[in-house]
Amino acid sequence: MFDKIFSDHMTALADEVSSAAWLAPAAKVRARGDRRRIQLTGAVAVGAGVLTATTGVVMASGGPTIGTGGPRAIPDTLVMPHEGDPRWDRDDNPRIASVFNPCGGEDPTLAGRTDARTVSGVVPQGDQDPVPLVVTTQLFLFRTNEAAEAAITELSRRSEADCGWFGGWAPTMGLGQFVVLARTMYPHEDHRPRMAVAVRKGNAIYVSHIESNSGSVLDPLFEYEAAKEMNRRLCEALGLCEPLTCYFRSPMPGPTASLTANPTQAPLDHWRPYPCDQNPSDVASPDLASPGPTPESPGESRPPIQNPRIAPVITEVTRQSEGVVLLRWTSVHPDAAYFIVRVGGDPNLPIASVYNASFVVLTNLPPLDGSYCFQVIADVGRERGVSQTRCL
Amino acid sequence: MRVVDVRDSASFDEFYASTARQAVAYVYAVTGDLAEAEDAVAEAYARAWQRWARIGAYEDPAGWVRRVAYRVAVSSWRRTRNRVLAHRRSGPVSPVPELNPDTVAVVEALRQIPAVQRRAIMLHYVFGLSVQEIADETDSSVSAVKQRLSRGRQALAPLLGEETVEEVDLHA
Repeated sequence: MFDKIFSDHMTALADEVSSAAWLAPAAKVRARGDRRRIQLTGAVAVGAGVLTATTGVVMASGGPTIGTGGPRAIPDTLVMPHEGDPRWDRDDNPRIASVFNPCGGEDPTLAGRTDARTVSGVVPQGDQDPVPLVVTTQLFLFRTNEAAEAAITELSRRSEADCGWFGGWAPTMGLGQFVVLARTMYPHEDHRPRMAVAVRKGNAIYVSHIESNSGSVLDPLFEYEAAKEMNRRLCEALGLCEPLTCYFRSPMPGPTASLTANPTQAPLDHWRPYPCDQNPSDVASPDLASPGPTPESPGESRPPIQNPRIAPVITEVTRQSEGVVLLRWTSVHPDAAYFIVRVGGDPNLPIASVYNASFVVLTNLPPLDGSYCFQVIADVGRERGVSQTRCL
Repeated sequence: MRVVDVRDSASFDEFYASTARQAVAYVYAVTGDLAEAEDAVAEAYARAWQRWARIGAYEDPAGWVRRVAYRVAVSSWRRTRNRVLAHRRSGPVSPVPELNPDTVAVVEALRQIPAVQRRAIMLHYVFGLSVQEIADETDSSVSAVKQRLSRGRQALAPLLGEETVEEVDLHA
């Protein structure tokens, strides 16, 4: 008897509180998650190769500006994240190697460098059964903004160089415009996953590098708040002040337009800043939310011409980790747009589109009992070629 | 190279709309702070969205969110707990003005029992979890959960105007 009364009491409480509770719109909740999500999503590497070649143009076309004369030495007033924490080490060697150096070889951060500070330690990751991660944060100062830009551009280039890492420019992360995010591919030679983010502010580059000794999957959120905090400290201690603006890619010209445009310049006008506390889709045109122009886009009154001669050949489908798949195909035209279709999806619509690329990493694919199957559709002008289906 | 996120926002939004309010009620019942509960639940769902491809496929994604929301709430709740206790000593805390007197009485009663008992009681009576399921969710033993439910019920009975508590089979 009392059990029933008790249940009624608790259910009434839950019902009433449920009614009184204020809930943020789902889109806002997703945006909250996305803002702090250090992972290679969406626009992280969209057109990364293009941006690599012309970042100076992006800066000149409306990005935040920091004076060209930056500090040459790191003052004691600047405290790095974790600095002073128990069992964390600090190294002030100005010529220390960058812990983030995809592909190895000559350290791209040494040229023009005037000072450095390194703080490293071990911290646990995970709410349940935490695993130890080796975290290294580094701050490099350069003689000029241009030297810093050259260094981070090279880091981005190497992240895309298919030498065991994947990533590239990540202006949508909310850490600024000149941000590189990368992580190692799976499987790793030494079974030690690594992830790194590098942020350039004026003549400074801040690097946060995470490495797992246990082979566990790295939490993309890890150290994000520290990176944001570092932005504030760089402003306070070094005068390198820049708001944490987010960037999104505004609609790209369609494949037809790209045939007549210089592909190394066209996308540079398509990065736009927006307040990080908003969802880009709330401040941009509806086209932004779409993966790009589709063959069925409004305005395409004539059906595309099927041309088997421009059908890509899928050369690789590799599972990188849970829900992450690497897909490669043959390039059919330097100005082709490629649409990736998950065959067996609901429905079989493109889940991604890329330009002038021959591979893509799909993240957050839903777990499947069976296989992932894909097709790649090449779109060149008004012609279209469809690959054979390839399954994982 | 391009990296593309293919999470399903529609399924997340549907999940959020159908489960978030009850999650707020649960966290509120445990912490006694509605604003804190709302924020903790929002944080938990934001984390769920970050991992939605995996969590959306769970058998009980709501359970995952509930556990995370609880941890988020408790971690911040502990920081302010002393302040709240001090405030409570100076007079009764007004829980939520919009709640009716009966609900306020339940909330006040819940506040007088330990948090672990509150949590077990809410999971059992609101979400209908079995003792075994509560044990799994709270990382406790079955016997500990039985004890918490029993003691919680014993403590709440007089506070809710009931003289005695019949022992019932908690179908572990």
